[in-house]
Amino acid sequence: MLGKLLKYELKAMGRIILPLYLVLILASALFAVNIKLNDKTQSLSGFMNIISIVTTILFVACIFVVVIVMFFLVVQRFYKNLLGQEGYLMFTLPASTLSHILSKLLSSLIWIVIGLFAGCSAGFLMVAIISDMKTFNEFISEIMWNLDSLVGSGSIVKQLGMAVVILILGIMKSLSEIYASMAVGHQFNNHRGLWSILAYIGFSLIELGISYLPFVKKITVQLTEQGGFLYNEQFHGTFAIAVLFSLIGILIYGAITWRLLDRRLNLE
Amino acid sequence: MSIFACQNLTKRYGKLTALDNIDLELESGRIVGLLGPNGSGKTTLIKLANRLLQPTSGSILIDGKAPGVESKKNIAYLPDKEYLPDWMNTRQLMHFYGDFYEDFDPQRATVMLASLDIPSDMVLKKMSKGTKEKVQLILTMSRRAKVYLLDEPIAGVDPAARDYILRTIIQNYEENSLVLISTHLIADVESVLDEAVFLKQGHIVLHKPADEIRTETGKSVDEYFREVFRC
Repeated sequence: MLGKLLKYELKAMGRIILPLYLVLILASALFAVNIKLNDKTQSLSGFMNIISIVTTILFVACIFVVVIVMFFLVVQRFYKNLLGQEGYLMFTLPASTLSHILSKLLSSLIWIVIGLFAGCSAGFLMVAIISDMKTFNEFISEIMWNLDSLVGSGSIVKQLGMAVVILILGIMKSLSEIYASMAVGHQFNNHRGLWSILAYIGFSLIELGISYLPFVKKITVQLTEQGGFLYNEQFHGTFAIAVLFSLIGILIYGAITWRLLDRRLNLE
Repeated sequence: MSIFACQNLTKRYGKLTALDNIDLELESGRIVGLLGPNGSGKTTLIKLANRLLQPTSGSILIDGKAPGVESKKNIAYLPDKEYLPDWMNTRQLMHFYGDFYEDFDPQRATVMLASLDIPSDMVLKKMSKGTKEKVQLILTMSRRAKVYLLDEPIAGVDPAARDYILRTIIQNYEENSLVLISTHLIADVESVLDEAVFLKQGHIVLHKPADEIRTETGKSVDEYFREVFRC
């Protein structure tokens, strides 16, 4: 059932976010063309000036819109589809509560990752248009060289892989926190949106408080200094902590969400 | 074994008791009216059967199974809400039902939707309230389910639509299944009922075949209901 739920969830989100990703890439291309033209013609005519301003605004606006819509979609798909009237359809399907939560989590994660790819593609497209291809190749080489010197060891693929794992787990933890907050807010009969926001603030404060607890600080320092339990370098120690904390966060928030939706569902 | 069985079933919302220690057994092949005024516990009972709520105590079994993933395969539920995603059109909704319910009969749904002249590419958002309710009913009744739980299917619709809804239920339900219709509009459904269950403030005050009620009281079910629930 998870596969079927995920299929519909990806479709429901994709019909809104996918066109925006395409517009973002298009806007970045227009912006880059505009910069390239400005470079070639030193003095701009009035018309070109307007075009320049419009493409700049369009590009910046696109970035903001994509981020805001993505956040709105994550909240809306969970709130409307599971906790709103559509919940009568979803929770009477022969699917477990865990499948519902996972389908929302995975769909949001997939579309966010696609969004990050779209953002990177837009960035590379801009560099490719603004510079000629030779410079572009130099640009890529420079990025690789910089990354290599930053992480030092030369095993750039491994380092990037770890960064990607941290990023994905971090996104999953944030999504789980948002879902758990809505599940808590849903327990109230009135002002559910407000209670969800307060629950989110509460969770964030608890997380902050936990990070200051002496034994947590001690573990953090030990793991960092001693290189963690996975590898023996400082970066790897930090990686281990980040993975561990994200996993614990995902499990705790997931358990809260599951418990409230499975045992204390409160559809209007 | 009854297809629908409640034993000592109680549901409380804080201090309010919505269902109070009820026992109820319903058999397959019957159309049963779950009758009671607003707030009598009808929707609570149906939600418990669908696992949208958890009982405070007691048990409810559908075809011998506690409400869960397995029981949901056998229940066709029509809530008293607009519960379908409004961005989907009827074709997408049929695929959705077909994907999740093995007992969904797309042929039956297609015929019924065609009789209403609803374009398959029209999204729900663009339909009138009455048409949306008909689409919901058609999708529910296009399942060959063991149990149909219909919560207030005729509330808030005009008399012509009521006739359509009742006709659709009668013509499409599986004969060996249980149809439980919750309503407070007795007169409209009386003619189709085999049995009636009167629910009053969370208690079952009567559960009898409709014919028996008429014979024993000399009144229609509707008239007897008005007498029992007189304010």
